[in-house]
Order: sequence, then structure tokens, then C-alpha cells
Amino acid sequence: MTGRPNDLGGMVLDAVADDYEEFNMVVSQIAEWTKNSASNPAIDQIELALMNSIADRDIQAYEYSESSCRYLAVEADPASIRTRWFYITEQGKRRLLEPTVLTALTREPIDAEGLVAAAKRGEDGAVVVFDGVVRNHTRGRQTLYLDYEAYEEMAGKQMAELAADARKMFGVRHVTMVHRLGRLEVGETSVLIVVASAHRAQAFEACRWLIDTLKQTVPIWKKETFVDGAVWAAGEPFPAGMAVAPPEGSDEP
Amino acid sequence: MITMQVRVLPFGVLKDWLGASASTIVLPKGATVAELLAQVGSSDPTRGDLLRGIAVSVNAEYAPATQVLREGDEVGLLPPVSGGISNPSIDSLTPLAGGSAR
Repeated sequence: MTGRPNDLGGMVLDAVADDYEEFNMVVSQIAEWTKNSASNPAIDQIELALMNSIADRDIQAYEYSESSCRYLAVEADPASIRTRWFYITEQGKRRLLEPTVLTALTREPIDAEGLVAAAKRGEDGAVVVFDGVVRNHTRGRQTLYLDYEAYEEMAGKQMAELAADARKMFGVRHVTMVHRLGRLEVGETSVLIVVASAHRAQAFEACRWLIDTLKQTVPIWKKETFVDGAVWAAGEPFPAGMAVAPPEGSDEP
Repeated sequence: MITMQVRVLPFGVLKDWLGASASTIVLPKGATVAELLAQVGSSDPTRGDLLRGIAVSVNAEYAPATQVLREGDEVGLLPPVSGGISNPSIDSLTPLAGGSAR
């Protein structure tokens, strides 16, 4: 795939997609392409011309009514594969498209109801929600509050990758994954995962995979404060091959 | 000996030991992640067990013990993570009969 500069200082790609499958292929090519473009930091915007049919259908899928859209633009950070999607109207205005992956770390209370409602679209047959809540006890000790901290730069990247992976692996339409940081009281939402899909089986599987994988690999830690003291939660062992030092009792070097 | 400096970021329980902020560590040029860990662990052998089972990131990506470090790298020392829902802490729980999921 080659590009040519546009007058906005970005890059125009002459890719054409006839159907949704091709469209997805172009998107993953772009992701790969931007990832490999670190040597060319000037590339910060990609425009992707689409056939009218696919553009119209996609825009409708996202409930944007402007039928004048003929281009999608991807704003890509060359250092990562995270992208923000825009479409460009005939008047040349850029409009943000509803992302199909939404991931975030936040210090504000998570608006679970709002995020679930925002994830739903007409073509979805199922929305599966995992709402992780701070419970009032751990092993018989009464919890007062939890403090979550993250290696934010890395955790944000990991969550975006997990969400994108889940979409690819399970074929679901949309993933929201938001994790709260800072001090949380009992009953508050610590993590919210919303998966929207045409079919429930994929949505359930993707949601389960996302919370399990997040708990094992996303660099977030919590300190629990009980009525009688505080302790860093022990955490789950990393998946095989990820830990650099063997756990206690292992014979590995 | 030619040396290099890397920034070390401890997280979670390791902050209680190594301090809450990043520190700069001097290593021989070409040192690996494993050699960095050995040096950190040798500063207080009584607490070296805290390094067991951890993962390491180099510039915010998970890295193997064999990875060679470079001048200015940012190295995260990551204890087993505990994000998401409340999971068992302090001790591990015995699974319920029938292998109920947590």
C-alpha cells in the first residue's frame, strides 16, 4: 500500500473496498502500515476512499444520516495501531465516527448505564455487560475501600489491543472497556465491559475473555484497605512466558 | 567499564520496597532484563522474593528476561496484576467443589 500527501499534511491512500470483508482487510493493512511507518513520523492522517455502496452502508450502520460521505479518514498514531475514524462530508468537513472500540482509564465514577446505552445499535442482537463492583469483604475481612493504580501508558495501550483482539477473535461489533483508577468505595464499578454483537454466543465469549485477560495481563494493581489494615492484592500469576522470574517453588531458571 | 542508565518504575507492592517514583539505575552497557533484576534484588536480599513471578516491561511493552537494555530505557517492574473485579487476596482461595469459576 502506498500513499501520497494531501493538502492537510496527511496521507491519502488509494485503497478501494467493495464489501465489508475487503473493508476490514484494508483497515488491518492500514494498522500494519502505520505501525511500520515509525520511520516516517510525518504520517498522521490517512484518508481511505471507499466505494459508495460500502460507505453508505457503513455510515448507516453507525446511524449517521449524511449520505454525502465518500471518504473515511483514519487518524493514526504511528507509534501504535490505535485509530480514530472520521468521515468527510462533501462540504469537506470532518465528522467523528462512533468508534467500534472504546477503551479508557478514568478517575471519575463509571457511568455504566450511559455506556451500555451508548453501545447499542440497531443491528445488534445482543449486548453483554460485565460490571465489576467493589465488594464489601475479602476472605472475611471487611473492606473499607480500594485504591487502584495503573502503569497508565501501558495499561491504556493493552486495553485498546485487547478490545481490538476481541473484535477480531470473536467477530463482535463493538467493545467498550473502561477501568476506574484511584479510590473506590464499596458498591462502585471498578471495571465495565460492554460487548455488542449480532449474536449472543460471541458476545458472551468475548466478554468473558476480556475480563479474564484483563485480570491477568493489564498492568493495574489494587490496594485493599480493611477495617484492620491495608494490603496490596496478591494478583493472579501472569500467563506462561510473561513472567521473567519463576514463581516460588518453580524449577525453571 | 562502559555503563548506561535506565529508568526503573516499580508498581504495586514493589513501591513499598523500592519507592513510589522512578529511579535511575546504572548498569553495564548491554545488560539484560535479568541482570537488572539481579542488581535490584541484591540491594536487599531479604526482600528479593518480591521479584519472583513479576513481569517486566521495557518502554511499556512486556519484555523477556533475555532482552538487552539500552541507554534511557524505561523499565517497569510489574507484580502480578490485580485489576478488574475484587479477587482473592492475601491467600489463595480453595476452589469450590465442582470447580466453580471465580
